[in-house]
Amino acid sequence: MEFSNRVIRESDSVRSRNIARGRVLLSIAAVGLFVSVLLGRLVYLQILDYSNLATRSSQNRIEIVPIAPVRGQIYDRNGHLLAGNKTVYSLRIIPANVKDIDALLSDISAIVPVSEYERKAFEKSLRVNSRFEPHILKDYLDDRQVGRLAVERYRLPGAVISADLHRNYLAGESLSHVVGRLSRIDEKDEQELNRSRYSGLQYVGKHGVELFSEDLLVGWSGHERVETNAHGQKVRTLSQVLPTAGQNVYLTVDRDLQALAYKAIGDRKGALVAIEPATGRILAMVSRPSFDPNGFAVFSQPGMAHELLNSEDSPLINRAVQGIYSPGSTIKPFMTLAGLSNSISNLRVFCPGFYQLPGVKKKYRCWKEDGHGWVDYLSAVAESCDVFYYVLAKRLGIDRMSAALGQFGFGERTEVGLHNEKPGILPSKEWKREAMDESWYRGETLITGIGQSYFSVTMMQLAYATSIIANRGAKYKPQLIHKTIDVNIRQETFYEPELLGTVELNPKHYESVVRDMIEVVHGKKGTARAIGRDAQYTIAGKTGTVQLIQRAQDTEWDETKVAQKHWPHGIFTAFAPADSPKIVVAVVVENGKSGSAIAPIARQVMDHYLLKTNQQESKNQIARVNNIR
Amino acid sequence: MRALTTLGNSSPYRSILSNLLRVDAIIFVSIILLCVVSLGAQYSATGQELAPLLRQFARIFVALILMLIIAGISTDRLCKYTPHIFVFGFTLLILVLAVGFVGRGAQRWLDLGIIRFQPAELMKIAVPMMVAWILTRPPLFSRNTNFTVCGILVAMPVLLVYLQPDLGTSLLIAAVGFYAIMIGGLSWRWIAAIAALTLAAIPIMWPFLHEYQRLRVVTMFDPWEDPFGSGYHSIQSMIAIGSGGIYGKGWLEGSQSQLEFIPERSTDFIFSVYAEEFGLLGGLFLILIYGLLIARCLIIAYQSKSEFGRIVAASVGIMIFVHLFVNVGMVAGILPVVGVPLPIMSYGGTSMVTVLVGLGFVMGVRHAHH
Repeated sequence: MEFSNRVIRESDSVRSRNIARGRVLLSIAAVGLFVSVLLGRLVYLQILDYSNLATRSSQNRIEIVPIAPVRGQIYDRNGHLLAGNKTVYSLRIIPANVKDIDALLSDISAIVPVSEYERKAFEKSLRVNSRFEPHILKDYLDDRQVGRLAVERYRLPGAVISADLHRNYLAGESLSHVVGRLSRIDEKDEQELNRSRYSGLQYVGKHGVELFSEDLLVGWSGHERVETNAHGQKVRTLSQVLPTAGQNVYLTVDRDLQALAYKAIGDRKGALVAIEPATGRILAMVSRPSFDPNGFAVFSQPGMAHELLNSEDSPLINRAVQGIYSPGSTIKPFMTLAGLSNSISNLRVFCPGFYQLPGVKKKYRCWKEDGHGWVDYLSAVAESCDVFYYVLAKRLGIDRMSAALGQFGFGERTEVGLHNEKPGILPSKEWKREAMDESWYRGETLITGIGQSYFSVTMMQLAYATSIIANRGAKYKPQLIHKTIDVNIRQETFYEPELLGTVELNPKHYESVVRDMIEVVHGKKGTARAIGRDAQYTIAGKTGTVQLIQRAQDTEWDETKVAQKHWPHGIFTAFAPADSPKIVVAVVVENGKSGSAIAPIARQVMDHYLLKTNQQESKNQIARVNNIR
Repeated sequence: MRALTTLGNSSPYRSILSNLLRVDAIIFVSIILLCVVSLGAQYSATGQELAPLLRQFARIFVALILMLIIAGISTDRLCKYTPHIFVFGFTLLILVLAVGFVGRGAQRWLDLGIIRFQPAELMKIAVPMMVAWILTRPPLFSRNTNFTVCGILVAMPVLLVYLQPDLGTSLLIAAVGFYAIMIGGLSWRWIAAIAALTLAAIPIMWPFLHEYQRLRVVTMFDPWEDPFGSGYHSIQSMIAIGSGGIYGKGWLEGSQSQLEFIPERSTDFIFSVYAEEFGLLGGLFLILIYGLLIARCLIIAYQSKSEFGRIVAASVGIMIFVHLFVNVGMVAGILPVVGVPLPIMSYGGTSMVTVLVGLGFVMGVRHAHH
């Protein structure tokens, strides 16, 4: 039994060995076949598809990174820096490199305080943007915070401290409106801006000169080609196209004069524009109330913009170009010129304190209840007699009147270069039909003649119009830019004065009106005689007082009985020295009571400009003389 | 047949070393060549760091010693202790699963303090050994009963590894176990039936796969559909290999590898790193060595007089082949991305030990037929 069993097993074994051997040989064949498949695949990838994959490989590691240009700086006419760039450190987080965001945030807040707002803004950014990009957590780190974070950085993986150039305004609140400000580039901007020029930039000029000169200031973005790894981290730079820095812009504005004017208006609402008449250069342009220009950029003060936008006093509005006011009596010198140029000379009117149109009961009042008696051109301007100008307006008629006033730029923008400039309103029959779809009334002609009714101007327009009188007809385009310097090629470009044209009138008429305006300041009965008394130069000016509430017929004005917000606006426009004007000032103070009351502001500005500058010049002369010796 | 005998037995391959220790020169030289290439590729893949290289060197050393020890043990003795080895490995698998269940999540490792060990790797050898052991016993009732027992013994560890979950390794163990049964003489009728069943099972199993596993299979057919998502690894690997061209970009010059575009560069994707830097010629050379190694195992199996040795040697050869094919197929974009290492080349100890111990076994088998 045992033997036969063994025989069976051995024969089985031989049989199974043969089967196994056959199958091993089969496996060798199968292995050969499959290995050939692998080899075929390698041949395909490395020979047939080589050029495609090699291209992909090289694209894989090269990335183009923009380099933001340095924004041009803004200076005043004397080279004082108004808007510069400041390095700002911020803490950013790349979520892809962080294991536990919450733990990291709590680690960070143990080192630097992270406000609720900053945390929320960060979380919002996390939801919206890529995990591989840096997300801003905290902006405007101070030096100590940067130092502490740098020390602890090894245990804060994914946290990055980055340095960016931010705009820094050095001139304070007085120049906020003129210099303007930047805003974060939003989706709408992205569609409009030149992508290659702005790549890498986060801000764009949105107001003031920052907007007006954006094209000069911004420069041109550069870029570098960098080799990156799969995490997008830079390994080395392959090539670079450096950015072109923006040009530096020098304003025509004098920083100190501006500050003085700002201070002179005081804590009231108002605007002031000072122009050099011979060139049209703007020396000062003030709007009150103002705001801290740096406050806008601060990430951690989100409430501020909102507060400013919704403030009742509208501090963001540049009242010098956007604030429209009835010119009131300041229109009278221009009315005089209108009258003289339309051959209404030697007009004499008796002022009983009011004027009535024939057949109409309504009394058109003069500001002086008792009346001025007999007035002519000279006394009408000096004493600001309304009745005289009612008569003059009636004789001119609205068509001739608005045509004559239009020559001085009323009703149209000066195009000084500040956005949202208002054109104001120069009333005319056509204007009324278009704007209100109504016909013109006779009475409206009279009150237009004293700068009321629909008539409205900006201080920019009033200063410009006054500069035409100061120039005896020459119209120089108001300008804010004095020169630019292209730092890349060290080239200065001067902005020459631009003569737009001349209001051609008889020179005698100009001299006559200038004489009238001098009488306003230096005459015995002049409404602005208070500022003329001790002036070291001759000032030609005109006051204006704009009533905000209608006085009932035959009632007297009593300032003690009326709330301050109903006080009249005071306006004053003037130039000096009267025979060879160097400066024109137009100023309005809301609820400033009267033109006479606010005229000293203009006087301060003129004093500073005419006397301090002269002192400076004489000092320089002395120095020069000393040097020669 | 004559040529095969010469290749396996002839004196030119015998050295003093192989007389002293039971070493097969072809296998040994192939291993050393692969180790050298591996260390070179590792150095490039780890960003030119020496520390991991030294650790890998130590692992190679330990694995080689283990291989020589196994090669010295007679096949009969190994056969005798096969059930013990299998039961040991099986117990470890249950242990891993238990620990993994407690620890919640995938668990493949057994932490033994200084070394961590993947029991599933051990089963790649233990399963074909067990099959061979059963098939060399006298039939209980009929030979088919033995085959059924084998089937059950293969299925159990496969199921446990699948539950870890490690689909790749479980399929690999199943393939090697089935291959061992085939070599053991399972009739073609049964083989055809099982093959048909397996094909039929694919659509049934499909819903039971994890989402990521399904995605990998789908991605294989069109990786470019989602180049930054599921297709990313596959695409980056193909770009690496293809951009290497015929001659390669040069050692340490592969931008795809050096710039970290390739995932798992020192383990599963080591071939991409190598092929990028050494090109098609380097790839051919490497695959040729593997071919030689696999062929050598199969030839030794062919020549073996012991049925046990024959089944195990052939299974070890096929195990290495399946690893090679699945790994290179994966990195070259013709198979889905599964975690299968490239034997000897990939960084890590467990796979290295498994393969070298298996090869030690093959050496022992060769020695037994002298």
